[in-house]
Amino acid sequence: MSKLWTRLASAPALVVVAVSTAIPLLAISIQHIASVDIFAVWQRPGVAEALFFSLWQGMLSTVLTLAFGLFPTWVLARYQFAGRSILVALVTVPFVLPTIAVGAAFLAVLPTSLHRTTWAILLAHIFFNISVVVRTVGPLWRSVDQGLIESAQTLGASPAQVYRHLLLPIARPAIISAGSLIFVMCFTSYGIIRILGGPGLATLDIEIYRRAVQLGDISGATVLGITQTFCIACAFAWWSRSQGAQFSKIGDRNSARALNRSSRIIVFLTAAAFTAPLGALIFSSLHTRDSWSLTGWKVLFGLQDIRGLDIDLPSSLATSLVYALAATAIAVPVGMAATAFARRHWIHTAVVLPLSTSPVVLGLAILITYDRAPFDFRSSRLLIPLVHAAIALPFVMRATIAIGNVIPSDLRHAAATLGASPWRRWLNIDLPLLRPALATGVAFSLAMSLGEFGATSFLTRRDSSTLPISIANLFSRAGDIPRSTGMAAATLLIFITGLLVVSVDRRSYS
Amino acid sequence: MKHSLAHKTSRLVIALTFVGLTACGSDSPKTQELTLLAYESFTPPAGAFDAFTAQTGIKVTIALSGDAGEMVAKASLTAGNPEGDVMWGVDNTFISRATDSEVFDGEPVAVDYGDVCVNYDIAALAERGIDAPQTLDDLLSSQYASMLVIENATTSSPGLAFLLATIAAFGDDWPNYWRKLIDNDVLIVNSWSDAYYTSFTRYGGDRPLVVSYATSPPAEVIFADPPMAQDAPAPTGVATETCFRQTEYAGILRGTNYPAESQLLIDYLISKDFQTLLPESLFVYPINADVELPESFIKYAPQISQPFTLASKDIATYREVWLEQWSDIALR
Repeated sequence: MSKLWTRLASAPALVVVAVSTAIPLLAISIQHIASVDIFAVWQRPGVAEALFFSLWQGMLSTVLTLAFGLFPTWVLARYQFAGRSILVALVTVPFVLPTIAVGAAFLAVLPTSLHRTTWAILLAHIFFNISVVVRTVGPLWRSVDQGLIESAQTLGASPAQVYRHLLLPIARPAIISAGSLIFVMCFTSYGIIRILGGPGLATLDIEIYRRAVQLGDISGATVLGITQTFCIACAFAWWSRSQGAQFSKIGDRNSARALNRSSRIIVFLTAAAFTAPLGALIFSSLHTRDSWSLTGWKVLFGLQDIRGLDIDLPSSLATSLVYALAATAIAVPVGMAATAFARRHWIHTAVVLPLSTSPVVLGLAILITYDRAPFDFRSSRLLIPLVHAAIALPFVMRATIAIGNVIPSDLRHAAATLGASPWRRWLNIDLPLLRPALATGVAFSLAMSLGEFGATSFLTRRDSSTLPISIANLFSRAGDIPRSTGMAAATLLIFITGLLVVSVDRRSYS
Repeated sequence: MKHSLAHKTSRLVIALTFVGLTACGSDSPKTQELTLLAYESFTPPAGAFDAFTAQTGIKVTIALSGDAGEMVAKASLTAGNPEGDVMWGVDNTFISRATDSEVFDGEPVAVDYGDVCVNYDIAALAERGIDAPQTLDDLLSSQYASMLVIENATTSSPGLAFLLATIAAFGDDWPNYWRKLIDNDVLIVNSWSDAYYTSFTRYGGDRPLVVSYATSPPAEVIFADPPMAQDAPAPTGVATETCFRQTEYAGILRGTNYPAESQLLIDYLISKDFQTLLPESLFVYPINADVELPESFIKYAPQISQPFTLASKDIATYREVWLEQWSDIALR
């Protein structure tokens, strides 16, 4: 009975992955790979360089993000201070920034000498992905009993020793978890590198796009796309196996501690690093030429009509929000059910498939797979939220498992002995403890969907355009007003996401 | 028993086929709605299709399909079983690929055109005491060293257009021109917005020359904030002998169930009613010669009398080779 439950619980996640990614990838492979020489594709100019660049910048970005990310993670997990939930939201919102807005925001605060360099890319990757560390590792550290740390200190351990011998081992599974996701994000990085990197820098994802769109070489793009997916899946399978031992001691809810000097510095630096680019964005929305102006905001809200600038904010905002809510409604329950019942390594590898697949290849694959009745889903309104959900799944699951691992098993055993069904045990024991994970899952799903992450940017939209599309269109026009309106729209997108994240966190990341 | 079942089935199939055939043959199906596939930056004013709906009773749904290149890639894959009925906006750098993949039913028709040219910031050049460049050769002069920003030809459509202008101008000698251009410290960035809004002097950058459109000056005037004084000249100018002509096409997608209605839509797209809306919403020139240009175009957009052009067949054939060669010179 219990085994059946376990299997059933992970089924929806597998269905989402199969429908959104696995089946289309199989279909496009059958149609387009058979006829090409796979090795010849890899020998074309630029391909090997792209793979090499993807690999090394991906690894370096991951290490740096973890190194820098653990400081704010610690402070946000262990201290209570005014504006804490706002800071958590602040580190999450970069996720939704349309790359065009990131470009503008980032270039505005970056010294000119760093423009279009690898440094700019690394910094942007840290900026983008730090929230993965904060939200995956944070809840674990939050659950560490303060008494444990204090006894270590009483026994003469220095802060560094406490960190190395106590905190790091505790967080190890979550750090590996976060690191592997960050690696995938950076390896497949597309927009950031296009905007912040020099024109010579290309990841494998960019090379795939170039082949498919610029050169019309669908077979070549498919070969590279499938290889990329396969490589990442292998790396992931290996990572999942090497996840550290489970830690079974859960602390009390920690007494809120006030900030001390070093933690105050960390809070300040984090806040500064994350407000500066956003501040630059707001500034650009309010400033044209040498003067201040509200025109951008007025045009955005329809208070001022400008001939030739037809943007329908309410409808594109509504479309974005509906997609985001639908994606979250799919990703969170499906992802949590899969982790709560099934602790199988291969499931974690399977769910990372949509995220690690090149958006172009996946977009084209979906297009040619679901094109005949009764499976003509190309115009289905569910398609886009489904793909968003598939991409957010690994984030939901990683957040859940990081905490799920520390839920004491004796609690569950006790409940089982008393006759509680697996479902009841999950509902009454796991779910309340999993609330921070729930918040993280919701936050990531909303953010990824609002930011139009991944393959959906390649799917055709039948209803109105979304906020990110409107922003891109504004930035494709010459003139002061399109630019400031675009900046205003990007600011609005960030603000809305921030608001959603704060309200979700309020309820459960407390 | 088995035999009779098979027999019955086959009779049923024949009967159904017959019904189906007569249904199609007698009268082609009528539709109340057509889907117009377009690139994402297709932003005609609200109500642009109201006149069409009033004339024909057919509603037009716009389906946004990525940028022009993505749209063609998708249309080529789905040729014969399209995502819509009519497609708007394949330009001459992609049209050959689309027709080769048999995306269209019949010949696509030209719907608008525009020119990609080097633009200059008039105030910034005046400040430096330099005259504006006019030709491609001018750009090699040392007085324009470190002044030009262009888009990456492998990632940006104006970038590709500028490369094609030089190929049209210099023929097989174009790689030489580019080596000299690179030696003159031209800056290459990945997208038009990056070039225009980050590197161009008008928006705070340090490059007074940028590859943009011949219609960027009127856009600068219309969208100026604070508004420009009446009769003030446009703040940017166009080097009129550096231009590449981009023509956009629309066509009926092969496989549509409604070819007759789709033809009506094509007729509407090139009608005066619709074409009049194009200049100040898409910043392109109407193909329909009966359309009167708006004042902003007459006053601020230079007429490009002799733009560079290339046959779209050649572009399709040599695109990969050219881009490879260009990447070697400009990026590596």
